[in-house]
Amino acid sequence: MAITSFAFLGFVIVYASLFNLARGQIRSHFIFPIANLIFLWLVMPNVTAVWGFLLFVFVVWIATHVVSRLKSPILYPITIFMIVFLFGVLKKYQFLTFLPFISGIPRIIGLSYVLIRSLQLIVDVRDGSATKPALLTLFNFLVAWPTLISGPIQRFQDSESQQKAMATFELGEAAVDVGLRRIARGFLFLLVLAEVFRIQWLNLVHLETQQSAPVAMAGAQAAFLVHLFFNFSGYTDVVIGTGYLVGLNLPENFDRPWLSTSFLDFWSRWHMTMSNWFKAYVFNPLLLFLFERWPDARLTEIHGLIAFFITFFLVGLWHGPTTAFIICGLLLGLGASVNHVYRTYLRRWLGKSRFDRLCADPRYMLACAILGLAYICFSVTPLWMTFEEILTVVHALHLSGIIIAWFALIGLSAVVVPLFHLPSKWFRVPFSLSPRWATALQVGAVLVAVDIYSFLSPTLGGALFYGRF
Amino acid sequence: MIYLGQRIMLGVLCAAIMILIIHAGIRVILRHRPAEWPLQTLTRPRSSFVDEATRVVLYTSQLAHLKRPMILVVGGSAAQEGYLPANIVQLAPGFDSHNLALAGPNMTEVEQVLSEVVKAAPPDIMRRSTLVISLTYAMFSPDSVRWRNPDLVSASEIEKRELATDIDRGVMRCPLVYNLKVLFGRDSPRWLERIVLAHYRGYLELSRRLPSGITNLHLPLRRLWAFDPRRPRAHEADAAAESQRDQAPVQGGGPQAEGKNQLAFLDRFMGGQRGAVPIEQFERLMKIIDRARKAGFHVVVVNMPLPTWHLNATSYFTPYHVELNKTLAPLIRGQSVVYVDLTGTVPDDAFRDSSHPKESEAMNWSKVLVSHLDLSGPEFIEPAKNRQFVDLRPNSRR
Repeated sequence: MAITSFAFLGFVIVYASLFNLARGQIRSHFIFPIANLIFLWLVMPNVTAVWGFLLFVFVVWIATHVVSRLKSPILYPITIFMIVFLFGVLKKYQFLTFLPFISGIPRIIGLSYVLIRSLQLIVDVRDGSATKPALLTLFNFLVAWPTLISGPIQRFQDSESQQKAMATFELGEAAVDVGLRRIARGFLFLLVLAEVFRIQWLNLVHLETQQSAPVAMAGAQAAFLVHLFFNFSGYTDVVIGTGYLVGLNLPENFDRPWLSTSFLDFWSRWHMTMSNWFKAYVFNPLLLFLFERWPDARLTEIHGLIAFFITFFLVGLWHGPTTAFIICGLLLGLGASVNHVYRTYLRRWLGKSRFDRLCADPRYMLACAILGLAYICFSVTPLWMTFEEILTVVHALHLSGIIIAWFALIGLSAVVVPLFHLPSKWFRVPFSLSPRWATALQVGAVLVAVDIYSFLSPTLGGALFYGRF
Repeated sequence: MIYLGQRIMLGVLCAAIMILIIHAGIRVILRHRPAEWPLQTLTRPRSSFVDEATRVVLYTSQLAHLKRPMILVVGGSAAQEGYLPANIVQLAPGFDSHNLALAGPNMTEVEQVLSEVVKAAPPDIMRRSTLVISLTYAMFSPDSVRWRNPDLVSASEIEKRELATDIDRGVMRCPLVYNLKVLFGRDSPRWLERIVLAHYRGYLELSRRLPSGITNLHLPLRRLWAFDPRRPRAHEADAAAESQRDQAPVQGGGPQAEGKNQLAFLDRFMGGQRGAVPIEQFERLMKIIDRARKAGFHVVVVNMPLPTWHLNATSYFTPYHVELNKTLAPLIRGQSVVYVDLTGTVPDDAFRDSSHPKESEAMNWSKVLVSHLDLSGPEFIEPAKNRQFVDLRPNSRR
């Protein structure tokens, strides 16, 4: 069941109706878990995948009990390792393909997201910042249907409190307005804008494959990032909007990433729940470990460099099990490390006040934003190319072609990025409407846009790119 | 929950008002409504292949309201241009005529067209009607070649595992019409049908006037980059060239020289295996004839004429012709179909290119066709006894 299908809309309507008509604990103890189970069954490719998913949830539940009861310093890393290993087996990572039964495991949707939510829970239970979960609460947390496919990544503590609050939730007028507007915007992004850029991205890839044109390659890289933004951000809007209607307050995933002024700034605005998770559960502990292991003030920058590289490398690796994702991780790690080193040494060289003045200069900000965006387009290329395809492109373009593509990407960013930084007052609507009519107009406009687009373009999009992770 | 229902209803109302405003704008600014009757896929200037398929999907539901028997033409672009319904109606009074031939189809797509017709047309009218299946060898390009042809199908479509014809893509363009047919068959409420058709016709009228690079997002980007608003669109340029060619008499090797390009295109269209036409689409032709006969149609198979230089230059015609005769022989013997072979019956200067008639020749082509149809009685149920294999070629190959 795709999120843009009529089946999904029907599911949302039926669930929202039942949820809001019911009262008390029946919502969180009966309606929500049943809906989660049905949704799981609808989105998974087959029953074996459902059982695989449920097995993973059960193992996580046992793991939380093990780490909360037995405070052994050895058992904790073993538990984490077992969870990650089980994840690797279910995801069929290339280095585990020697296992005899691995080929029979079906593709399980949303497992990457469940892994990081599970790890967060286990770490927090051990630290005492989260309580040992009941099986039903854990099931509702890990299999929550709005966030099952691709997040956003919610903390267990938030999910638990929201499950408790479901009993007293009242659907108000403001929540309906905000929720419907988010859903409408999400469908516009998913069905129309993401699809327009997907087609252009694929056309450019085709052009590049046929003619080995570096400029087409640069265009494809840029078009992919725009497609990915509309696709993923649209999905997040639909999910968050749906949450408003059923008492779930889901975290935001995007904060205007087009306004980012550097590579690191971009990742604090893009897929924020994932970035924050990696910051809290990988970067910070790793940095702390390095400081404790080698407590030399002169090594501070090296510690930061290593922590950034490893964190972003894992971000790349988290996306998938193939060599292309290892390359993606290396490129992301390289970008984060270079960004960190450059910033650190420039500050040291210029001094704090001059560095701050430079950073506040709009021209410098713009230059950094252009370079950062160009590098991001380049570094996420392995998300849509296999290792073999990357090698083919490298052989076809040669070094000169790759350099031309790189400069074309910078040129493209230089044209587009300044437009993002135009004063927002230029785009302000000169009139205001009541929330009721603003919502109705927005929903109506989206319906019309989808209607027209579905006629002009022979295919209607909506397939979620992040659904594969 | 009340707020939710209220907002959704208001949203739908807003959408309806906006669509009404758009349609009013189209009506006022464009001041034109496309022809609905007789049904015809041919537009001037020529629209894209998918637009033509969309017209089939949109218009065939109108056949539910047929009152008189019809002469329905299906097939390829030569029939689309040669057998204009307006001409046929003049030549065969008492009959309606519709032309649902498409540019660049293969038999799979012709079967889909027939399927749309059978869904819509009243059974008693179909029993009194004639179906003209016009053929050229290019219509026997196998599915795996035709619907993955990079000249005509976008890269993203080629990458997909499932093959999609232009009709399939046309269906995706107007899902409401398609779903109406699925829901109601031929008994959909007239008022609902009118609203939905008017809705899509408005969009169709708009899309036909937009640059093809915008209306067909699946075209490679280079087409969009190459778009120059001062230059005529591809099909308009073709139409202008056609008009010039119609005015100038064919002399020397002009069309032949240009024909080389067209033959190269047809070679790619057929998959490049010269001298061979796979059996797959002949089997499809048999299915089409069988289905049409079961629906009650009198079936006439026409082998469309080609200029002699084309016949001499292509390696596909002979194997196609042999296989076609072999396929149809039992049906002709059983008087299940009428076969009209027009190969060699039309002088070369009647063609504007490798297969299409000049605009001025369309009436003559229709006359030849109608002369071979048995239209003697309005209530004929069985094929007429005098129907036989007809071969009008001067040098018969029988």
